[in-house]
Amino acid sequence: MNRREFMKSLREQLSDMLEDERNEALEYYEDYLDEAGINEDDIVPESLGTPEKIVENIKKSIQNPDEDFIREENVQNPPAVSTIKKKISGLSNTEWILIIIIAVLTSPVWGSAVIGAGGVLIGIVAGIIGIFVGFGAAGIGMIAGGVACVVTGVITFPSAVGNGLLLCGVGAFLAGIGLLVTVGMINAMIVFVKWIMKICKKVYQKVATC
Amino acid sequence: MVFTTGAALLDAIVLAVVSKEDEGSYGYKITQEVKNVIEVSESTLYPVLRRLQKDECLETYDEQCDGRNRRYYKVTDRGMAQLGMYKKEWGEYSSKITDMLS
Repeated sequence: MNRREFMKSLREQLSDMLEDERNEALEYYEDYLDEAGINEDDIVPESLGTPEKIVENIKKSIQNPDEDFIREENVQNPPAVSTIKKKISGLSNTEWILIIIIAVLTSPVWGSAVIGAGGVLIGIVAGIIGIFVGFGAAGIGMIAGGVACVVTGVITFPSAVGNGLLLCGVGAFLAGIGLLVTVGMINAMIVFVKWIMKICKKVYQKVATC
Repeated sequence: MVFTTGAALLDAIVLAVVSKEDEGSYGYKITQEVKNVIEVSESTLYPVLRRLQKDECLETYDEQCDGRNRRYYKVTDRGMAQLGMYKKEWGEYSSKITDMLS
């Protein structure tokens, strides 16, 4: 294609663009060919790109100014790139479609298995929390019992000094242990719940990034 | 060359090439100089120049040369700031990759 034909083709293909844009591009290429020393009847070298390719690039850059439209065509040995891409994606489109179809068809089987496994996990977590709550409640019971003992001890003290002292002592002992157990269980539960939340967050992030 | 040049890197190279001369440079010369550094098809350069111009990183002026018009591109203050950012980013990026690959 000589310069005259090249510019004519370029002008035609830019015809649907804004006048400013069209003139700017045409002027650029007139300039460019002048500098390259290509006269009206000289052949335009292929390295310049076909008018189709040039217009395609201009339109792409106007539509998506930030998109990386040069990635494909500026690499001159595409085989290397396509091999790399294949290695990264690993599976062809048909293979992916097959995998999705199989996954959907077999969903009743693995679906219930997944739900079941989820149920078991939730059960285990709830069970462990239940143990904490149980021990915590026992601790509260011990505090209540201990306080009751002390109260009874104080009441019996005037009539039977020994019994009163014993009840007070046992009551204080019970209440003390109960307090320790309750506080310990509350702390353990907080640590456990935080740990579970951390795991959930990690799992969620992994799923989200996939 | 197995590595591709992304849009940002091409912008950086073009800005660097144009900023080398105080009076700026023109399309044909810019293209040749960019081609000396990276493999790029000539048809990608015009859209890049046009976009940098719209982003006010480049400005143009016309000068008569051998009886015809020559459009010069010059890096604006904004373009220089952008180029400075690219240089800094590239320094960090390339030294990490070099460490990894050497």
